[in-house]
Amino acid sequence: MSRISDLLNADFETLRGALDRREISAVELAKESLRRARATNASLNAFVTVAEDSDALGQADAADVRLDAGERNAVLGLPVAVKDLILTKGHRTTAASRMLEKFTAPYDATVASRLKRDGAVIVGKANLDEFAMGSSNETSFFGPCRNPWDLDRVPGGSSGGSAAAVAARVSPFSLGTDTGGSIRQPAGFCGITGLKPTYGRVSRYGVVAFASSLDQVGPMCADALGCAALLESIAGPCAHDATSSKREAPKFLEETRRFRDRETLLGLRIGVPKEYFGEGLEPDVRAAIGNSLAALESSGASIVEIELPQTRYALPVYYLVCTAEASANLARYDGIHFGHRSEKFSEGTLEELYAMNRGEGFGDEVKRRILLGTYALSSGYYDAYYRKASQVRALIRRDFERAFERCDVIAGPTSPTTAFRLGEKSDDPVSMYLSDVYTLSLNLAGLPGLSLNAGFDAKGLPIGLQLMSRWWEESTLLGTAAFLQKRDPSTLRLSPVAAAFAAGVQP
Amino acid sequence: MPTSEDVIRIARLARLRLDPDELNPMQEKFNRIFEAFASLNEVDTHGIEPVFHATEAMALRADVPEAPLAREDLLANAPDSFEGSFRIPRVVGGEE
Amino acid sequence: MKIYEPVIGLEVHAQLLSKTKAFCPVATEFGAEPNTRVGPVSAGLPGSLPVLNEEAVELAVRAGLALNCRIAERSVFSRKNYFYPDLPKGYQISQFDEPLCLGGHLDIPLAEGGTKRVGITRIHMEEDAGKSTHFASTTLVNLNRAGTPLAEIVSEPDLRGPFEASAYLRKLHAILVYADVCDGNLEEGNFRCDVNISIRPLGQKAFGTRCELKNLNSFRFVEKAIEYEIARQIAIVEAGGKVAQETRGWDAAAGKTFSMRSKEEAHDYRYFPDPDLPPLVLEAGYVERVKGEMPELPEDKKRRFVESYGLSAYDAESLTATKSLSEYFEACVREGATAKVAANWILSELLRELKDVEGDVTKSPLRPAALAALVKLIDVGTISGKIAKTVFDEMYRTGKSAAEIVEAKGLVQISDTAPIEAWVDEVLAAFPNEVESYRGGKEKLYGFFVGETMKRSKGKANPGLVNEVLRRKLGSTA
Repeated sequence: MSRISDLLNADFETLRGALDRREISAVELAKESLRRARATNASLNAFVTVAEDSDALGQADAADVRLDAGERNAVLGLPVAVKDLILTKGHRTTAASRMLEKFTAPYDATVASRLKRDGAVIVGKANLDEFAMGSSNETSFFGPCRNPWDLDRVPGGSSGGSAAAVAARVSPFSLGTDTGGSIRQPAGFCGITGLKPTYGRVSRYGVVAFASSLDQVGPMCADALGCAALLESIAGPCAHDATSSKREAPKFLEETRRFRDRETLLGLRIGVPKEYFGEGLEPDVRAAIGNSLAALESSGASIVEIELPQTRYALPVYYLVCTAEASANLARYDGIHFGHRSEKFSEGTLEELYAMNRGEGFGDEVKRRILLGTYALSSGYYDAYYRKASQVRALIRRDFERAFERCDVIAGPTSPTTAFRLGEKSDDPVSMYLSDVYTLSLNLAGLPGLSLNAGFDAKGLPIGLQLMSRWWEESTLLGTAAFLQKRDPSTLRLSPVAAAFAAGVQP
Repeated sequence: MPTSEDVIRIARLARLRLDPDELNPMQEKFNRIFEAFASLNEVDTHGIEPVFHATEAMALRADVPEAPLAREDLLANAPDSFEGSFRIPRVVGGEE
Repeated sequence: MKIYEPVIGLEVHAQLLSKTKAFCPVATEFGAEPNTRVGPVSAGLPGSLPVLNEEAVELAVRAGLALNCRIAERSVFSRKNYFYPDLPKGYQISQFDEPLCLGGHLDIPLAEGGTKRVGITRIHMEEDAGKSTHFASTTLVNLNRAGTPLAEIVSEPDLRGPFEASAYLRKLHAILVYADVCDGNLEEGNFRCDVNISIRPLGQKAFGTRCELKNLNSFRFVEKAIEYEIARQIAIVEAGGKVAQETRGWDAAAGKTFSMRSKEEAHDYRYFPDPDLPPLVLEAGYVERVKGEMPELPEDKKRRFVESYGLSAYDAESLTATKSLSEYFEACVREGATAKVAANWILSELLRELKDVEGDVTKSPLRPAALAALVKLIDVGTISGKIAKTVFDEMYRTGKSAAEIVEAKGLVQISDTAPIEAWVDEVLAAFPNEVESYRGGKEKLYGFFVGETMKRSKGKANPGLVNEVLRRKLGSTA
């Protein structure tokens, strides 16, 4: 039992090795994962739905059969939490919204079917901000998720539950989605590793759409190697997604290992944008990032100062583009063919029926963003808002193209602060939006980005280091992160919740 | 900067019901947000092609049928259905 | 008394003949059980994404080429946002400011002869909505049709009356069916027409207020509705009123248009480029290839009929009015009937029988082989053209073959000179005065002799031979 407990808390290589050597079974692993999920659901609320035993253990059993037969792949038999924005057939999939409270997915998202193909064990649907709109997991209809490092604080968002599940070591892996930082920021707040792949690297088919030109599904795991493993399973072309790239996905795990095992980082140029170190950045965060940069430099990498002058416009561009796209993407939630239908409607116009269903089904932040987006697209405003923002988006992209002529990886803080308290920012939407200021630009440019733990602040809260690379160069990010994590495993310290599990104590 | 009439009009367009007591807070938050947007006007975008798509490659699909959803599965999530069709209360007026 | 001219533009939605839907890989099928032809994409389920059907693209390009349009190398799909129960996503994927085809035309025959060129503003691709059926206290929605690929073809407001409008529709319909782009089945709703119509005083350049007429599902209804609407609008204006801009339907029973709803607030569709669909870029040589593979179009077929079969331009035009009619004709010729005779029979007798089904030859119980057999009997002189008419009637009604009927009724033409000589002798002997008058110069009496001869033969004498014998025996006039 404690062996399983330790393994579930261990790094990816250790866990993978033990499973492959048949020292433990997938069923044992799944049992412990489910136990932890149930034990923490009241305190953490990381899951909207925990899988039924019969379901999860059935998957685990099938994985054991395959393992016993000698089959091996990166994720086979490992428990994974799936953000409840991603459709898993036969399961309730809610997008953390009252609108979809009773919705059962009639088909699998591509990423879900790939996980199943590879034998990963889906142990539950992770909590999130409603329709992925938020940076703290506080807008969920099913209640906020909490940070395993401090239960009074947010885990970040929108993939808060996915991050918390991994940080609490309920499951070693989770899938999140990232539209403006929703994988990276919670990964940073929860002290784990999270990757947003290049736009088009992973299929969006079966993922509830928030902003179509920005959304990407990505892996979240304690360490970079785990992320590489999960990415390998889900990445690659998809015929059901016209925006997915035709490029075959490389062997991420192999490439990441190779990079990690380099003697030196000589030749790697790390770009540091001056715009990311201005005001608003907490001193502890600044210090931790400084240490990481020093570590990179002492390993042979060169540090280059770069400019990303359009950074200050990333916020308005992002909020005009994503809300415009979201306003159309969420129009299908009307309570006609699926979704919430008001019990209060007895008679009236069609317009009233829709307005009631949607008015009741959506929370405030979602409504606000739909209104914003509708306005940005409306007659007379399209040019000044949506079109203008889309032009500035081109300039933001150009900033990165220029920067990557002078460096290979851009590094900076994931967030200006560490995890804030629940309720601290809920009243001021702009202040909430600002917590994403370092992550937004990446989605606008379609570039890949990763957050890994860089240390802890005076309160013991995790600090995220964000790395960004050129299009399609996820291996560089994963490799650099893996290199740093090998060099300093203290950054993989367990959260108090996970530590309690290790000690056999109820957290 | 949207006025309160704008907010009401947009809410209609978006088929969102805002209770009277939701209107003011919404309006205020809108104002905050649009203040933040004002900076966009500073940017010189003369001659810049807007980025509307994250990728340029349009992948087409061969005209080969895949199985449709089973009707039970399609209707399983419907709030109301009748003899194989989605059902809604009779409404007055509407768009065509 | 002012003279007003109607200004008419037509918008046609033609369903493209691909197997699967525009963006959803489920096969379309008319008349299937409700909600059995729906996939996640056409149901607008959470997480679903559109992927464009390459066959639909090819069909739309073919339509554009057949209508003389310029095909855009790069076109963009946009979302047209509005709410309605038969529109599951809450938006329709269409094309807005960068459509697939621009600037085409087609030529229509005018009533007074000659042709008129009607401009086509644009053709774009879009997806169809589902169907809602309204009952007393509920509405039912069937999404089978949702997502079906459509080509929307918009004409310039060049049409000036019901005849021109109907001629445009028939020509457009024929071209699309010939090009194998669309089935053109109006009953199944895969060729739908909306009419935009206004009036203005003759000579005025500015357009009047226009109304949109919808749900006209036959060419005849289009003509009637336009006629009615022109009169209605003129009456309003003459009485000093203003035509209200609105959408109107057609009540066939009452023979009137009626107001459906006013276009009070112009709908704000908030068009923007669909981020799920990158721009459609046609690779080099694509358009050429589609052009090269184009099926024979009406104009080409008409020309070929004139050249290969020696038909008149008028007959060729009539025979190529629909693809099915032209194929019927060629089938007859393949079966051995002479072209000109077959053409005559089809255009007169056969089309007369098909008047009630708008000349739809696919509804004729008489198949090409059977008609060809009849024509061949005439060709070889077994029966006369006149007798053939009665045979035809019987064939059409009973389905029996020509040979059977001729045999059963003993209608074989008499081409034996002996009996004909005998009858002619009889006639000339019976009417000596008339013979004398004829020989004296009264040429008109010739027909009388022919008639009398035919009477004695019970109509079966070969007319050509009768002439020969008569002329010989009568001799020439003085």
